[in-house]
Parts: sequence; C-alpha cells; structure tokens
Amino acid sequence: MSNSVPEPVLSVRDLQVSVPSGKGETLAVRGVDFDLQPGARLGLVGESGSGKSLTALALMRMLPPSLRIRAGQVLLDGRDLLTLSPREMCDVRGREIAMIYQNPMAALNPVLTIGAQLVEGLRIHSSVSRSTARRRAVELLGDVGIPDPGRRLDSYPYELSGGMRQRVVIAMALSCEPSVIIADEPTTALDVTTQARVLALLRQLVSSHGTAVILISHDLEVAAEFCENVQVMYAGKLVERSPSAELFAYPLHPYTKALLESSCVLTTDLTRPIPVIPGQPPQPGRFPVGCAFQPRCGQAGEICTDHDPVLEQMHERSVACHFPHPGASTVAGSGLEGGSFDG
Amino acid sequence: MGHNMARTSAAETGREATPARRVNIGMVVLAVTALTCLLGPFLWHFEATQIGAGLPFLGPGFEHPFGTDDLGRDQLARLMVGGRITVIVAAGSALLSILIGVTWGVLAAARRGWMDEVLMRTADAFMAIPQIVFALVFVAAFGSSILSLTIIIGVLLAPTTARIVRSVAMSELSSDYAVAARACGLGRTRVMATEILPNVLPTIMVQATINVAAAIILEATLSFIGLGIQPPDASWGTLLLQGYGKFYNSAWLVLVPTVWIVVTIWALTATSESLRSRARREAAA
Amino acid sequence: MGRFIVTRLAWSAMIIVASSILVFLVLRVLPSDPVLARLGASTGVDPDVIARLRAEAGLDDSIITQYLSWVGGVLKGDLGSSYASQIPVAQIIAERLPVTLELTFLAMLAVVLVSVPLALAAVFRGRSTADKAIGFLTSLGISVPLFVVSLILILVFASTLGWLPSRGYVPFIEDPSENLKLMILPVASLAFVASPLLIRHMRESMSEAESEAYVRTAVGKGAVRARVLLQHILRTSLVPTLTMLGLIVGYTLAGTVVVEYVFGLPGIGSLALEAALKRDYAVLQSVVILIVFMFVATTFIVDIVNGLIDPRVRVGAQHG
Repeated sequence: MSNSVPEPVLSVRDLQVSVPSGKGETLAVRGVDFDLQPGARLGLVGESGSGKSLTALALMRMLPPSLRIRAGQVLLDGRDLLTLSPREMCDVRGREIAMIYQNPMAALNPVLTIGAQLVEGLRIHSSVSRSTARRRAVELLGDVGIPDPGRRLDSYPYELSGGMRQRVVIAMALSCEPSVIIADEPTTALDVTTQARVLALLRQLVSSHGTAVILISHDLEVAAEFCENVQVMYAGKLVERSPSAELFAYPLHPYTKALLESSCVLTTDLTRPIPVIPGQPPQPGRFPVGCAFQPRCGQAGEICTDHDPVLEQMHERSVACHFPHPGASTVAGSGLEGGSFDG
Repeated sequence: MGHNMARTSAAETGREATPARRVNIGMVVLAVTALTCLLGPFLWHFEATQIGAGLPFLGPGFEHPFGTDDLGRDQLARLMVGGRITVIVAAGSALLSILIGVTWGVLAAARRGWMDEVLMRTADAFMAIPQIVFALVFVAAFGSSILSLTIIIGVLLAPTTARIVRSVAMSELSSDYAVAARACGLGRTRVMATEILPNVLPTIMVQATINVAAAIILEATLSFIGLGIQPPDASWGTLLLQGYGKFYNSAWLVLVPTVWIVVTIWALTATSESLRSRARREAAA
Repeated sequence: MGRFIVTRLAWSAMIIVASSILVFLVLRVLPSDPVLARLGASTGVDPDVIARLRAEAGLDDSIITQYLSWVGGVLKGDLGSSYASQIPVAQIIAERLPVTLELTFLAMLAVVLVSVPLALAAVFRGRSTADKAIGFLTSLGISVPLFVVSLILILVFASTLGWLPSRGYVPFIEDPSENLKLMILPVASLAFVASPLLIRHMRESMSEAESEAYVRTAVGKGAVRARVLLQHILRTSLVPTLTMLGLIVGYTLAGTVVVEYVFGLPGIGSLALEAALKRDYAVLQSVVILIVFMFVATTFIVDIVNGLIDPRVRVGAQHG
C-alpha cells in the first residue's frame, strides 16, 4: 500500500539448495525470493518434499553435510550470510538469527540442566559472568511463563512437559535478542491446547521484542492465524504469497485452493466425499517440466507444460501461475483484473 | 485439521540409500580359506607330517609356497591341516553357541517373569567371568581334546549370544505384527517360531559370524599358551607357538600363520559388518 | 541416588556369588581328580593315601558343604592352600597381585590416552580422511589376537631392534625405570588390542549423537564445532563410553593371562594359567573369583559414575 517501505531485515534472493540424488545432485529448493520486514510474521507453508525445511536450514547455514547451497543471497541487515566464514556464521547464529525446532522432546540436551543450556546460549555471544547469565536465564524463563523459574533452572529436560520444553526452547532462541527467529513447525509435536498456548506466547514475545518471525508449517490454518503474510511452497518453489486473510478467502494458486478445499472444518459437509488432490507431490530430481503442479492441476493448459510460471507480484499478492484462480478477480475493490494471465 | 502433510521426506533431509552389495570381499576370502583348508590336504602333494619334504627353514618358493619348518615339513600343508582343525573347532563352537544362545534368549524373551530373570542372571554370572579366564577353568576341568575345546568355546560364547537374541526377540515381540498375531489367538510358541524367528534371523547371522571370529581367537590363544590343541594335532595357534620358538631361524614360520589368522579374522569382521548393515537396512524398509 | 547405589551394590554382590558358584561347580563336577594331579601320578598310589588326602581336602563332602566352607574361609581371609605347593593361596595371591594391578592400570591409562583423541579426531570433521584412516586401523586392530600382537612387538622391538627387553619383571620400588621399561611392551600389547574397541564404540556413539536434535540446537545457538563436540556430543556419549571402558577393564584382566605369560610377568594372570596347567584347583578357584571381583567392582564404579553424570540412569530401569 505505501511506497516508503522500510528496509527488510532479511532479504532472500534466488536461494537454491541441492540434494544428492541418483545421478549426482539435484535441486530441492529452486530459487526462493522473499523479504522479511522488521517485526513481521511471515509463514512458509508446504508439504513434505516442498523444500520448506531445507529453506529454513539454508538460511541458518545448518544444512546436513551432503546438501549444498548452490546459489543465492541471504541478506541479514544488509550482510550476505552466504559469504561469511564458518566462524563468522557462528557469531551470527543465536545472536542475530535464531531457530525454534520441531521436536521439543529432543531439542534439549538430556544430560544438561536447562539452566546450563540457557546460560550457554548467553555466554557464547557475550562475556557475562556465570551468575549474571543465570539471573538473566531466570528472567527469560519467567518471560516464557515457566512457574518457579529459579528452581527450574536446575531441572533436567526430562522433568518438564513438552509444552514447557518448547517454552524453554523459545526462551533460548530469544535470549540474545535476535532480529529474526525461524520457527520450524514449533507446535507440530504438541497437543492442540498446548499448541494454541505456545503460539500465543510466541506471538506476544516477538511483538514485545520486535523480532521478525518466519513460521514454517504444514498446517495452513496455524500459519494463517499466526502470520500476517503466508507464502506457499511447492516442489522447491514459492507459488503464492498473500496476506493471510486474503489467502484464505481468495486463494490465487490452484494448489492453495485445492489445499483449502481438502481440509476439514466444523462446517464441512461430511456426507460428500472430501476432495483430495490427485497424485503425489514430486520429489527432487523428478520435478515435471514446466509448472511442477501441472500434472495434478485441474486448470492446467498447454502452456503449463511448456513454461514454468514465475512468481509475479500483483499489488500485495504474488502468484506463480498461468491461470490463477478466477475467483480472485471477482472480489470488489481488490484491484485485481479478471481473465487469464500469460506467463 | 488442515491438509496434513507428512513428515520430512528422505529427500528433504538428504539421506541417500547406498546400494547394497550382496557378496563382499570378506566373504570371498572366507570361502577361499575354508575351502583351501578343508579340501587342500587332499589335493596338495605334500603331507603335513612329512618330515624332510624339503630342506629345513626354506623361505617361500616355488616348491614350497610358504616354506618349510625346522623338520623340513611343508608349511602350506601344515597350515591347511592346522586350518582344518581351526575351522572345525571354530565352526563347531560357533554353531553350538548359536544353538544354545538362541534357545536361551528366545526362551527368556518368550517366558518373561521369573524364568527370564533366572536365565538372564545366569548369563550375567557367566559374563562376569572374562572369557579366557573361564576357559582356563573349563580346560582345567575337562581337558583339551578337540571335542572338549569345541564344546567349551561354544558354551563360553553362548551367554552373549543369548543376551543379544533376547533383546531382539523382545523388541520384535512388542512390535505390531506380533501383537496382532497374538490377538488372533496364536499361541506364544507358534508366534515365536513362525513370526518372530524369521525377523531375528539376520541378527543371528551377524552374531554367528562374530562368534566364529571370537572362537578362532580363543582357540588360537589357548593353543598358544598350551591349553588348547595338543601335539601331534596342529592348529594355527600351535603353529604360531612353534614358529615363535624358531623365529631366529626363519621369520616366515611366524609371519605366515600370523597373516592367515589376521586375514581370516578380518574377513569375518568385514562379513559381519556387511551383514549387519544389510540387516539394518532391511529392518528400516 | 542413595537408593541407586544400594541397588547396584546388591546386584554386584549377587553376581559375584553367582559366578563363584559357577566356577566352583565346574571345578568340582569334573572327570579328573585334583588329588591325583597333586600327587603327580594316576597309578600306583596307595588308595588309602588317596582317601586320606581327599578327606583332608574336603572332597568327600557334598558340593554344598564344600562351597559353604570355602565361602566361610574366604570371609575369614583363608583361601586354602595350593594343592601343588602347600603355600597358602592368600599369600601367593598377595605376592602376585600388585604386578597385575600395575599392568592393568597402565594399560587402561594408555587406552584412554590413545583412544579419546583419536575418536575425537575421527568425529571432528565427519567423513574426513582422518575418519576413514582411523576406521581402517581399528578394523585391523580388532582382527589381531592379543598374543599375536605381543609376539610381533617382541619380535620387532626386542629381538630385531633390541630396544626393549622381552621378558622379566622388577618391582617398582626396587627400580622404577627398569620396571617401567619392562612394562612398555606388555602395556603396549594390551593397549593395541583394547583401544580399537573403545575408539569404535566412542565413534559410533558420537556419530549417533551427532544426528540428535539437541546437537542442532547447539549449532543454532552459535556454538563452534569444538564446543559442540565436547559439551554436547562427547558429554552425552560419556555414559556408553564409560560403560565400554568398564568392559574393557574386563577384557584387559583376561588379557593379563596371555600377556603375563608371554612377557614373563609374575602376576595373577600367569598364576591362573599355571594353576590351570597344574590342575591346582585351590589356587585357580580363588584367582578366578578375585578376577571376577575386580571386574564387577569396576563395573559397579562405572555405574555409579554414570548415575552421577546422567540423571536418566538414576531414574530409569536398571537391568535389561
């Protein structure tokens, strides 16, 4: 809407990640571009094989050994992370960009107290004394809503519930006040009630600290609730990016639309078959020529097999499709034109 | 809620399945060694006991590929005959240890309760006595004929096997297919025999290879310290003992049995490793 | 923690008792006769003499009586007398035990000093050349029997190069440098055979730890490789490593039988061997139980230390 946009805190350009395959290497992330504004909440949604988790790991340069970042730029506060030496990258991790992980059960070292782990996070990046770090750790535990934080410092992870462990992980991520947090499926391993609570906590904390968040999820609803903008990833590429409400109400990409249609809500009519997307998402190395979604798409035309559509911006929304969902065009005042778009 | 997309795929994490090799070099070496030792003496024209087959202390040469010893006996012939005894003792004791160990472990896994306790405590008692030391006790009691050595080593290797088999059997028992089989009304023994044993088989094979290697080491060690195979029989252990005494005359008398022992054990270890990774892969599939 | 210690103590005691019964049974349920062995001949001996000696040795009593009287003796410090030499067993053992203790201690020291750096080097940069080289060496090390290693060391360093003596023992108090010089090859043999076991085990458990989620968390916090390795990977591998170390003490104790024999060290390993050769059951029995005791005691200490390091050990189930 406005034209004086503040500098994004994180800028990703043409990020490509390769994975080993039968005949060498193949791309699993095929050119991802996005910007993250300071304090913004951006969702990244996709199914298994879409490359969303790899993107997250690539941003932190924590890919497993056999995977490589083939190309791209990751500009954090103007600095390209991909050009840093390993030592410099260690400085950045935790301090400027931090990560929250999927499985809180396993994400904490079982033989160290949570106090020791929090203190470690603090002392890696600053030369505070151990007692100062401990005091700060107690504060952090209080911030994430852990009762009796002073005593909890000396507890071991196995003594805490899953929700509490995830709170500790969040506390660790926030401890050095990073500008960006990547939350990789932070609530997948938790039950629904805890899920809601942890997300609410995270939302409150990041807004009070002004931290930008990238939330990775397979669950569209969770992402849409938490984030201001959501981007959908399929077969290693971004296929749509919209503000959440509009993504839900008027999905542009056939894939997004199909996802929404195939999910169940309370009002879903269960007497009729639930629509599913035919086929399987393609694995890296076997992406179809042209548009990767085309084999499963109900609206595919001839052009879809020839030309892979590029992510094109239309006002606040972006979509990579030759035939974005016509429904979007009938929304009054959205400023979108009707008809089909050529790639 | 929501279109629930599955966990990260193997492609996402970059794990790549390495192609399996059915037969590796270790197995080949083993087969060759075993065949040579078992059939060789029939085909080779020198006798192991033939004194004066050649001049004493010859190095490797055309006539005698591995040289001769102090009495002019052909080393290749002695190695093959000695190898025969080593192979028999090793294979026999490994087999015995598997038979005892599998029964022991499966029984403990199947029966649970106090029988499991008793069986496993007995295993613990066995394993608290280091193998060679216990071997000393057994040999002191039962002597060191080929038969008693085979039985002794078999018994010594059984407890470890039992523990491993029991642990695998127990984890199989609690897996879905076994629970389902029981739910269908199949008796415990039937489930054990038909459903579980086939899945425990890969582990047993790995353990068998390991046991053969352990048996060779035990037998050779016992023979070397004088409690194993007694003259006039020979095994690789006794050959080494004799070679050691005559080292100054010919280093080959030590070198050749050493290389044979080490290569055989290495081949067994390599085979067990490849069997183990194959078992792991099949289990993951 | 206290309850944990007590449980482990009870279990250790039970194992020692069970093992002693096992050994006792094997030695008593046997074809050959210790009295005849002692007399050195199997024919031509007056049956009355045999009967008298058997009665003296208590061989006429039931097994249970024999065992209980033996246990009674042990608790009083009386281990009987050697069938061969009549010298009290306790005395013989007391004379020879220090040698084995020194040998075992030095060997374990060597094993740890060699294995830990090598294992860390192998894991530091995964799948590096160092890793592969160390992997190959350990494969080789496992394949060579202890007595072969001892032979080779003697043949190379004593016979051929003449750098070190091949046999003999001098007590440390008498001549420390000579004592240590004589210990080098025996200790090296034991270390050569035991280190690959520890290196492999550490490498495996550290590699497994490597792929654990909490290692990723540590990296995500900005920890450098060295810290990740030491604070997280090594630390969580410590428990299985120490357990393995305990087992290796057992293997080393067994190894002393061979090593003491080959290198002429008058320790209890060679004592056991001599007793077995001479069918001297009084000595053999006690020496074996002593070895078991040392092994079980080591395992006990390892368990306690593990309980201190890893809270899950204290809380979790004991024996599987």
